[in-house]
Amino acid sequence: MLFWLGCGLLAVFAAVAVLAPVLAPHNSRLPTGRPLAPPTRDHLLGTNDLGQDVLSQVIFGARSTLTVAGVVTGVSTALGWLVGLVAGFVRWTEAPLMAGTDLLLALPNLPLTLLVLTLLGASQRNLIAVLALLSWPAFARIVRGVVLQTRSAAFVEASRALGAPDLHIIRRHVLPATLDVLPTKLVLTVRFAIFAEATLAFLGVGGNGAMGWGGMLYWAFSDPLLFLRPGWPWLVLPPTLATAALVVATVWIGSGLAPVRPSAGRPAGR
Amino acid sequence: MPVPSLTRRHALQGVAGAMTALALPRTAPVGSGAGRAADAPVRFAWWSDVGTPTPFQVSTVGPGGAVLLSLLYDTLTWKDAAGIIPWLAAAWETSPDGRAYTFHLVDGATWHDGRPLTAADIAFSFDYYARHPYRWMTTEVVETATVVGEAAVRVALKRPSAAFLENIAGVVPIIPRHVWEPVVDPTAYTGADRSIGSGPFALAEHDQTQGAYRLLAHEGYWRGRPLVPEWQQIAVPAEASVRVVQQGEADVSLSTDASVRDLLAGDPRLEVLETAPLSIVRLAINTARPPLDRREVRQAIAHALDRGQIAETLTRGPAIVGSAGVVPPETPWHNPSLPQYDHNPDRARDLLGGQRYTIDLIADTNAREPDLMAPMLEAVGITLNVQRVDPPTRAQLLGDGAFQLALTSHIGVGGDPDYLRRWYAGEEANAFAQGSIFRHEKYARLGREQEVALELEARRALVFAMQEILAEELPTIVLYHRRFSWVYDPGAFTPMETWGGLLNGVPFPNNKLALLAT
Amino acid sequence: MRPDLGRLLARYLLLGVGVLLLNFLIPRLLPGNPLSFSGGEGTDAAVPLSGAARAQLRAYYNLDEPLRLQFVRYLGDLGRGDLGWSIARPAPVREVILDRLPWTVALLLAALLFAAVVGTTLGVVAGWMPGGIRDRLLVSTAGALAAIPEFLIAIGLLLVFAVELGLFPLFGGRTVFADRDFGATGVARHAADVVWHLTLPAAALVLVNASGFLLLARDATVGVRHAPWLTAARAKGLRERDVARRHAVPNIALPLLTFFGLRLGAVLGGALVIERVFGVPGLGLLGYEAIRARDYPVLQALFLVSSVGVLAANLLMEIAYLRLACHRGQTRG
Repeated sequence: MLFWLGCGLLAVFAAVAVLAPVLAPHNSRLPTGRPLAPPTRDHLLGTNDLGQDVLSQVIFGARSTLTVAGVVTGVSTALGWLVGLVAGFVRWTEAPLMAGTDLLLALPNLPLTLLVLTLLGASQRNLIAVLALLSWPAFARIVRGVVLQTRSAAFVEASRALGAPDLHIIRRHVLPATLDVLPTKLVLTVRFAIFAEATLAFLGVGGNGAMGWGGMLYWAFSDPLLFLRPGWPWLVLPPTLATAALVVATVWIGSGLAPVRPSAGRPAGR
Repeated sequence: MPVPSLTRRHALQGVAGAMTALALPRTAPVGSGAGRAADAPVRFAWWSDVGTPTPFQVSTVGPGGAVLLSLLYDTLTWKDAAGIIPWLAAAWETSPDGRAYTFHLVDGATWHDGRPLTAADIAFSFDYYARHPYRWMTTEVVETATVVGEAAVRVALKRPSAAFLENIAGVVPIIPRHVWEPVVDPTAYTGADRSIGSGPFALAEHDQTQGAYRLLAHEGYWRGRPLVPEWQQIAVPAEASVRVVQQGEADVSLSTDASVRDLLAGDPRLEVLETAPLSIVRLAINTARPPLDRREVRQAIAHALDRGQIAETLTRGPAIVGSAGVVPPETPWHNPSLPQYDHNPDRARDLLGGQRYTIDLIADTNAREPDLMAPMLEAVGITLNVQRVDPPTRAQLLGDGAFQLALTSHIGVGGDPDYLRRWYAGEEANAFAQGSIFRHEKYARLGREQEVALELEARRALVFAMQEILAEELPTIVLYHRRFSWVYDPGAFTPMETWGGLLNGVPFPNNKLALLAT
Repeated sequence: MRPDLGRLLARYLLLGVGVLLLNFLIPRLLPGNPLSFSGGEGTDAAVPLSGAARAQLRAYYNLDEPLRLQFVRYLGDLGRGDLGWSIARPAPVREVILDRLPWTVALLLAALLFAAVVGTTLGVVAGWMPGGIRDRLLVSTAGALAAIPEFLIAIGLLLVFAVELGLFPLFGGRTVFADRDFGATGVARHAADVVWHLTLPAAALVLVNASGFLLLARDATVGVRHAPWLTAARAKGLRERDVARRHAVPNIALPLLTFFGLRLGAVLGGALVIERVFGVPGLGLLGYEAIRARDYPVLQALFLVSSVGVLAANLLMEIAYLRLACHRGQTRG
């Protein structure tokens, strides 16, 4: 079952992140070997241009990536869910809230993030804040849509059966329905956060001491002679595969939580 | 049963695409050596657009713009591999007190639009620069410039200037009076004639969106027709800088990585020229802010850093560690008998007296040095707080004095040593060399004295004394020097090393002499 | 139908006003007003602010006047098409943007359309026989592609096809200073040159976006495969292929259209990465350079252009959606 595979993989990543100081063979910030060395017993994945151990960097990189992905997903899901609920339930808030989300959705994501981080400084905190801010609107719209749908169905049902709308029934039907769309949102947001962190690091605003997987790629690609060096795959592939594996793990988890369904209002990947 | 027509369609599309790609004309190597077309342009790859090529709009972020201008404009003097040579000024005399130079204009110099270059243009240029500064080099020391006789100009200085012939007469472009006299704001001038100069090449096209410049040989150039009919400067992203020469999309390009020589050893077509190590990587220190206002702390930092290891790791070549007196080793003005700060963590800890410090460092987003420096400083009790910023932020922080340590790298230390004075007098125009803070009365006095010292030995003594102060006080710590490795196709371009670097110490290989027959 | 359309237009009009307001406020809210940075040096064509440039900026932004008046002037300038003067390069912003707009539009539209067509077709193929080998292969490939960040796909393509194989140029939108004759052959050659330069960036965009279309089309196809009207079509004796093409595909058009509109919006902002990797001189790269140079007028104009573009695209999608929905008698979800 893919779902269990995904969970297992995610658990491995989490464990690696937590146990990093124990697992990593070297201090990832110290040059411990000859620069640009191929894999040896001491450095299983070789060393980078400063002589830092690649394997240790991949292990420690999990911390940064998982933190960003986790917090961004948590905050944006909570915020989007809340706003969607309010917009769906409280009539007069719907128009302004939806207008706000439409506005946020119309802004160009990456340039805006780039601009804010450049001006406010590229700390991890700022990064998380901006990413969370950009990813909640789409989910809010979906939640609102679900709320409206189930609400009308519940109303009809309830008014038929009891002659009066029962708030409790609404809560019993509507809220669980919103949970149905949660898994897709989680998967997409995790993917969005991981990709955004890597892309921003690649563009040079990855945050000070960018040692996440995106940062590793940034340093690799900032060497103009990278592809002339014989050992370049060891600099590029480990962070790439780590990123891809994490994303695939979340996708598998997502596919296990919710059966694939044709949906008209799928978010654009956030 | 499922739809085979779809897959067939895809296959056809794929084949069509591939055929189109293969059939299209490529910028195949323009041909090197024997196969090279006679009128093929020489393409010089640089890492960015350098702005509109006029003295008032060119970019001073890096030397690419100033060097491009040297192809479009001429100066009074120039430099070849051995020293200063006459250029627009065929000969000159100095007044005994060194405060006036009389330059005699060479015959036959013309502007790109055909009009003759006269002494009036030269006088006008200095006059105009007094009101609208040339962005790469200040002409503040010039008082007046007047036409004398038929074809001569007398330039009077406010005080004698030892650096004048190399730094000003050899750097400042002579501009046409008939173009610039009516212009009130040269920084916003958009006229079609704004890039008219008297140099061996004329600007034919500037593709702003791609940062590319097309220069055509000036047929009536007074030194004779250039050997190269067309010179192009193209902005190439750093990642592609070496590849473009390998694949024939450019003919000359720069790598600051010394290992390029080994990596390209197998390529029969290309060669690598390594210049003198005129590029400097150093820490600018804000000596006005504690704890860096204390000399012991600064010296401790110098002892804590293993600069040899930093240099070797980052240049991937033999380490050229900087001198504590700033002037690089292997250059004529270097003072060889200075105290140097070897890698000595124990001594560093002694100097700090066991105290722990936290110091902020500002660095570019793609600087590698901080990652090597941090553990070295940590080992002696200094926690380095690295802030990576982009150039505008850096310029602002440095301009406001809102920094403690700043890592900067630039060129300009190979030529006349007057930069030692300029950095700390706030007169440096090179954006990367700005922001230095050091207030020391004796040093400033020595700086002013060497500027006016015309006798070589006397000046040398003064410059050596300045280096001694620098080595003792350490307002800046030079980490290392880099050679520029120029990758080029010898069938297209012959490089040339200039004495002390082009202009004011720029280690570029395209001295215009190399492009001329004589 | 009519009231729906009216409400739609009203909503978008309101959004447009909101975008204008936001655009007006952004440079005035962010730390450091446009005139505060010293010098304005950047890594590309930076020109420090001369007195005249400062005066121009001041005149454009009118920061000394009350906010309401500033907004009125801002709207007036927009109405006249005056987007200000670029700090980083001495040229009006409108000119700078118009120079680069065609590159982005050509690249994005072509790539997105191609991605939509390829993705949808493959998605229908996959969904027609769910669980079959074609389905599993296509879905896993799409999944694998979706797990790799965009910039890596771009670099991968660059590495393989431009660096290793040398089939495509290393960077740029066209060969600089290529022959500029404007006769028929000249134009054709110029067009071919542009196509050759844009092939890799377009391919990167297609690879990034096709998987989304593929998965969506597949899901939708799975859903409608056994719809009664399809059974009727089969009963008529139509081949599977025609059943798919003529009946199933139009019915999954609605969600696909929505997705296309959403992707257009996302891609407009994301073209920055592709343009950066391949050096395509479009709006994305302009934005990147403008941020580094603190070129506020250009940034403002870019945000406006892309936001308005996204809104316009969404509006068109929603109108088309309305039309199709009316046709099919389906209601919106």
